Formats: sequence, structure tokens, C-alpha cells
Amino acid sequence: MAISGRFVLLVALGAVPVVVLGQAYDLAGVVLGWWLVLCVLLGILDLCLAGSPRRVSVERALPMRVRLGETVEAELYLTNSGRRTLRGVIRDAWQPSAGAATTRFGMSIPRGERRMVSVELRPFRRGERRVEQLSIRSFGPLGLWARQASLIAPGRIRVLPPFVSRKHLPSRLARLRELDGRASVMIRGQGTEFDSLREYVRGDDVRSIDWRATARRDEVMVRTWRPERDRRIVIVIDTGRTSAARIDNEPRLDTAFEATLLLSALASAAGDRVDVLAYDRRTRARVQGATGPALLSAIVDALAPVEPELLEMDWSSIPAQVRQITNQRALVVLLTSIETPGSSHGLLAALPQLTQRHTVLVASVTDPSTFAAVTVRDDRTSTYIAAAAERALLDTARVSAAVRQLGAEVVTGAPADLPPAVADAYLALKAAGRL
Amino acid sequence: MTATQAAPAAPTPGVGVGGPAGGQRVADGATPTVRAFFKQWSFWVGAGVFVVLASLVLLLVRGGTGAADSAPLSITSPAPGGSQALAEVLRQQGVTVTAVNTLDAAQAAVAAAGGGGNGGGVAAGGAAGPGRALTAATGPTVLIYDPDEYLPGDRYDEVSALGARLVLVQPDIFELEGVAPSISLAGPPTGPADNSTTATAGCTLPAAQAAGSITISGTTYRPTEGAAGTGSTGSGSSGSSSTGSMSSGSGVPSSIATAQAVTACFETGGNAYSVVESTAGTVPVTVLGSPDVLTNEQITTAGNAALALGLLGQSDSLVWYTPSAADVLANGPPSLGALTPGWVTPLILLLVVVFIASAVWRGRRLGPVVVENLPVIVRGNETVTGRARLYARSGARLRALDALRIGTSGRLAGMLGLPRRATLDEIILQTSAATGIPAADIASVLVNRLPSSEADLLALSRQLADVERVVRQSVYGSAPPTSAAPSTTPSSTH
Repeated sequence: MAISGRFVLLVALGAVPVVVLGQAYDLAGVVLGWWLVLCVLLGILDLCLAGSPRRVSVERALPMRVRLGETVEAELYLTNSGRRTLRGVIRDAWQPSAGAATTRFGMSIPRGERRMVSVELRPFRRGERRVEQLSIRSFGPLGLWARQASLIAPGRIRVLPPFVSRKHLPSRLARLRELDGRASVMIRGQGTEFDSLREYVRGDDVRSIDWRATARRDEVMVRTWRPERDRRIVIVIDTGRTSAARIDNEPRLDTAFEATLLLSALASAAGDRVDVLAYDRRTRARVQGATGPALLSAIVDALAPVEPELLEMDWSSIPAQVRQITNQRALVVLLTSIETPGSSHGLLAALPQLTQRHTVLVASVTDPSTFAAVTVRDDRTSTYIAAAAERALLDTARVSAAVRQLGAEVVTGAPADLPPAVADAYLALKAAGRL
Repeated sequence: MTATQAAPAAPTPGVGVGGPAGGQRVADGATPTVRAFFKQWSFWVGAGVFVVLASLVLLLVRGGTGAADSAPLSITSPAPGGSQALAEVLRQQGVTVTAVNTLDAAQAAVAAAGGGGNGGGVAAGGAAGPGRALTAATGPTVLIYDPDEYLPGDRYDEVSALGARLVLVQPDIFELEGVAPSISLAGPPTGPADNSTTATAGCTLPAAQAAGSITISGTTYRPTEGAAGTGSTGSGSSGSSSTGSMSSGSGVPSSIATAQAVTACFETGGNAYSVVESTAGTVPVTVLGSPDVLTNEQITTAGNAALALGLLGQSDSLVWYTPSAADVLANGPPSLGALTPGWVTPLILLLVVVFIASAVWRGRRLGPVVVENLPVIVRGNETVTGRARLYARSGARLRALDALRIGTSGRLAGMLGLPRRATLDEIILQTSAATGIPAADIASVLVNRLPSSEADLLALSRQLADVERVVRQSVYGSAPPTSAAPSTTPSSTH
């Protein structure tokens, strides 16, 4: 049950008869009593005439997915199957981070009819945004008292990572094509494999003439080469406690997702097979075996609900996890954080097992404010901060050196720079034939 | 937000993930219905109703017997300081005991008892003679106990006109002056006033003689000088020491009416008495100085009970008057309540109701609060800031400077094209060669000088930055590359 401002006003209006009749006939107390009784009786009458808020059927028409930062329309269909007209206020209880423009609206539904409401959603957090309940406050014809009930009408919308780094994709694809045979790279070398034999045309490198094939045929044949294809790439995303840190107002985890998406798009265009694993002490998300256009949507779908966990990353089980994904030689990309020798102990301990079989690339977000702090030495406080920032950079450099010594590559960068940097590292490895 | 009329056809399904497919199924309610609510909370609702009903019943029962009054000498109080025992005994003896707490009520009670009034009292007193005045009183006895001095001074005349007999329990000096001027205050008793000692009657007052002795408490009184002197010579009625001791007074004969006016009993010290009776005024007045005689606690000790019953049980009805705050108000100027119109209180009540109603109006939630797990926010540079504060708090100047020096040397080596494993000496020599600054100065900035104060630290850190800038200028020329980027630049790859 609920009451309206109109009812409060009605009660307050009782001041007039109380004062007037009290002054004239000294009946103030009696008038007060009867006025309150009248108000309550009117309220009860109103309550009895209100439409039932329970006899409403609810349907939702929701888009399945939305990218973070985009706007979608969520439609809500309400059918009044009660005996009386339903008039009042309805609240669609979306979670706050679903970014509903408004959650409550006035509505009048005659009996047996249906009304549609569209709510504009602009989610501001990644993951699964839900609505569980719908609350209806149904006023009577006088608008004094209302019946109120909450109905269970679940709905959800999956908010995908924004993939803002897709703007870097065209330039990287162009560089990939330069590597590729399509750009008429006929040079044999590392990172290429035998593609086919064809007739010699003028201008071809004489060194690529295949004499055996020439001997079998009457024409001079040359071998053509193309970059390696069908390599395995395993991306391991650290979802442990350090991934929660915000750098440039973006959690490390989200930067890792951006890098994952860009690298996956690039690698699948290059014909490599990509597997993704989000892990801390257990698997949070895993994408395996998806290829082509399905890969990216599978990755965003799997990664959307993943959040940083308050756990220390279990590096010791990563080699086994990678082995479970592939037995071939692969490029293992570890998206984690390189900070201090102490906190990177587990990573350094597990790296040799990985570098033994695979090419390993360790990518870490660095804080641009740390670099900025090193040069500011205006006063005592900023000098100490510069010293601490310098110390942090030295720590990072030490860990990076240790990682390189163990045979892995290191890529660091600010949140905006890391995804293209990882893509570039991939291209460089591919060009060098180290996949 | 738009609320539009939907087409009569069903909404295009397919994209929907929620909502029943049938379309017309009524959604499940999350709010319990009224019936379900009572089913779920029946125990607590029942318990609440029971508590309310039990309280009402208790209230009614207690209201029937009358609320216990803990005031001293209250005839409804069974506490040690009350006087319920005495009142009950008096009732059993056929005396009507009426408790009142305003003077108006006392007057009404006296009138209802059918006696009182000046005429009756005086006539009775005069007819019976001074010695036995009390037994002949036909009007009600009025007991006045006013420890808080509520009784206004200008109404003592009305008090005198109340009844046939007055018993003043521990009156103050103003009350004595107004009602019984022939008796005056004698201060506290010389001995202990905690009922531990007794005093013997020593007078002709029948009640006192019947009692023999009483416990001492409260205050003592004595006959006023003039009245006592004449009284003692005139009466000569007793050989008791009470009035006889006053006989050496002025001895000037006075009127007959005051001749045997004052009798004092229960001497507690030099010319101080616990009970003094005066018939000098229009009505006989007995002053009882020790109120504890009437209490439940002390009524059974010594001759207290006999004295109390003798004093208070002489007439058919007893008005037990304990003045209250109502006596004061009745005489003051009209109160604020009397001046305000009658509708003010109902209006205030109405406003209270309006306030409650608006609180309900604004406070009622439309549906439950939506819960959501929010991410924890950890700023990435917190460790840097924390370490800087630790350095600053502990004054770790050398450690801080070390970090700056190592960073600078690394960057210098990078700029000068030295290998990563270059020693510090090589860096110093190369820097000196590149800039022209003596090697010793460079060495003192890069290694040797110890920061002895914060100012030193600041100066050294600036010199380090200067060296770096000079080297950069000499290596890259006057238009150096934009960034003063440290060795581990952002987005550097392997």
C-alpha cells in the first residue's frame, strides 16, 4: 500500500474546517476526528477501486548484446489482465550501471489492453547487466491510496568490452599484407614456408629457381613462399588481484581485453589459430577452437562477465593449462603486470617451463603518471615522489630484464599504447619467423 | 521515456530474452499478498496483538485499584513513607477518609462531610469547654501536610475556615502565622530526629496521654510567648511541666478566650514540643511536629498509633489534604493554555498527522532496492605515492637519491651510446667528455656527495636533472627530441 501527495493535501485541508468551526462553535476536536475518519474512508474506497497490480503480464524485448558506451532501446510490454483500469506508476528496476535514462513512468492501461514502454539503456560498466523486478503502484480513481506490488520479470543484457583499439587494426592488417605473399614477397627466408611452384617470369629472383622441378618440366620453375600460417597463439589473461588496478582510469584487465581483441583480430586475419584463457586460480573464461568471424564474438562474449578477483595469480598451473590447450609450439602471450621482483616471483618461476616449448610474450601496462613523476622535482614532496617513481621504474626494468633472460619477450606500454604494441610485437615475431 | 499505445498485435518476438512466450501469463509477484503476509508473520502479529491486549487489561486492572502513590504520607501508598495503614485502620473504625490535593477540593470535601464551617466549629468548641474541645467536634477533621509549601499565603484565611478541627503536620513558619499564630516554630529537636528516641506526653491532651510516648522526628514547636504565658497562669490545670514552665512570664491577665488556649506535649528539649494544640483561634488547631508518627513504617512503634488515631479519629470524617501544584496554578495569572483558542491543539494534532502522512508518502519505496556488485577501485600509482611518503616520513634521503642517481646514470648511458653493462666510471668520463664539465663534479653529483639535509637532496636532484639536460642537448643538439623519456619508454618493444 502507498499514499499519494494528494492524500496528504486532503488531510492538510482539514485545517480549514478545524479552525473555522473551532472558532465559531468550539467544535475543533470533533471536526478533527471526523475529518480524519472521512479521509481514511475515502482512502479505503480508493484502495478498493484500484486495479490489481498483480494481474499484469510482462514481456520484454531486449537486444542480447551491446558494446560498452553504446545506447540500446529496451522495450517492455505490459498487459492488464485484471478487471479494472490500471493507472499509476511503474518502475522497471534496472541495475544502476545499466544506465537507464529513467526507471519510472506513469501509465494508464485499460482492462485487457497492452501498452509498450521503451527505456533507453546506456550501460557504463562491462558485464552482465540485469533487471529482476518490476514494481507497480496502482492508484484508485481518486488518486489517494494505491496498491503496490513487485512482479518478477527478469531480463539481462550483456555489455561487451568496447574494443576501442580496433582503430589500430587497418594499419596492422596492411603491414600483415606486406608480409604476406599477396604483396609479392618472393624472398625465401625465415618466417616463410613453401607455397607453390610456378613458371619463371622476368624479374624473379634467380635464387628461387627450383632446379629439380625445372628438370622435370620444360620450363624454368620458381618456388614461391608465403608467411607461416596456422600457427597457434595462446593468450593468457591474468585476472588476479593486480589486474584490478586502475591506470588512466582503466582497469588493467580492460586493457588486457583490448590487447586480446586486437591481437585476435589480427592473428585470425593472418590465418593463425587463437585460444584465449582468463585465469587466476581457476579458469574464468576460455575460448578454444573458434575461427574466422566467430572468434571475435566468442571472445567478447566470454570475456564480458569476467571481473578482477581478489586472488593471487597461480602461475605454477599456467604451463599445464597451456599444455592442455595445445601440444604444438605456440606463441604464448601473458597479459599481466610486471611490477616488483617480489610480486613477479611466480611468473619468473613458471616462465622457463613455457619458454622451453613456446615463444612467450609478456605484456604489461605501465603507468604514464609514473614516467611523468620522474621529471618533476619542484619541492620536497615531488622529489620524493620522483625518487619513488624512479624506484618503481627500476623495479620494472629489473623484472623485464629477468624475463628477457628467461627467453621471453616483454612489451610494456600505457593503457592506450599497449594493444597496438602487442600487435606490433606479434607482427615482428611473425616476420622473424619465430612463431 | 515514451509510453505509447502498442499495436494490438503482439510485439515482434525473437530478440527478446526475457518474458514468457505465451504472452498472457500473469507475472509472478515478488511482494507477498496480504494473506501470504499474515501467514508468514502470523506469530509476530499474534504476539504483538497479545502484548497490546495484555497491556490494556493490566492498565484497566491497575486503574480499578488506583495507581500506587509514592508521595510521603499518601493514604494510598503502602510504602514505608506512606500512610495507608493509618487510613485503613481509621476506615475500619468508621471514619470516612477523603484524600484531596487542592484547597477547593478540600472545601468541597468538608462541605460534603456535612460539617465544618466556622459557626459549627466555634459553637461546638465553646459549648464543650476548652478542656474537651476535641471530643465534641462534629465537623470533619482536616489534616494538612504541605512539605513543598504549595499552599499560597493569601489563602490561609480559607484554611482556617475549613473545618471544625485542623491538624497541621509539620507546618512551616508562614503557615503557622496564618493559621495558628499562637504556636511558633522551635527548630529541629535537640536530640536525633530519626525516630530513634522517644518523648513522653507530659500533658493533659487525651490523645497524648493515651499514647504515652512517641518517636521523635521532623520539627518541634512551642507556644508563642504571649499566648503561652497567659495560658499557663490562667489554666493552672495541670501539674505538668509543659505550661507550668512558662509561668514566670509577664503575667499580665488577658481575655478568657485565650486563657487555656495552648497545650504543648512531648517535650523534646528545652521548651520544644512535638505536639502543640491551640484553641485560641476560631477553630482548634493541633500541630504535629513529627510526621513520621503517621507513616506505615513508624506507626507501630511507641505510642505513635494511639496518638495518630486519637488526633485523627475524633470525628466521623477526615479530610486528608496534601496541597499540590494545582493550588499554585489556581491563583496565578491566566496561563497560556487558557488564553489560546480551543482549535489550536486540534490543529497541531492535524499537522502532526499531516507530517506523518507526508513521511509515509515520500518514504514508501516503489519496489525493493536494486543490489549490484560494484568493482573495487585501486589506483595504479598508489604504491608509488605510498613509497614516496615512506621515504619522506623516515627521511630516507640517501635511498631516495640513490634511486634518482641510478635512473639518471641509466639514461645517461643510453644517451651516450654506452652498453648496458658500462661501469659508472665510464659513464662519468663520457659525460664529462660530452659536456665539458670536470669529471670530479659529475662524480660528486652522480655518486660522491651525501645529502646531509633536505635542501641538499633538492639541490642534488636538480643537479642530476641539469646534467641529464646538458648531455641531452650535447648529444641531440639544441633541438632535442621532444620527450625527456626515461630509459624504459612507454610502448617500447622487447
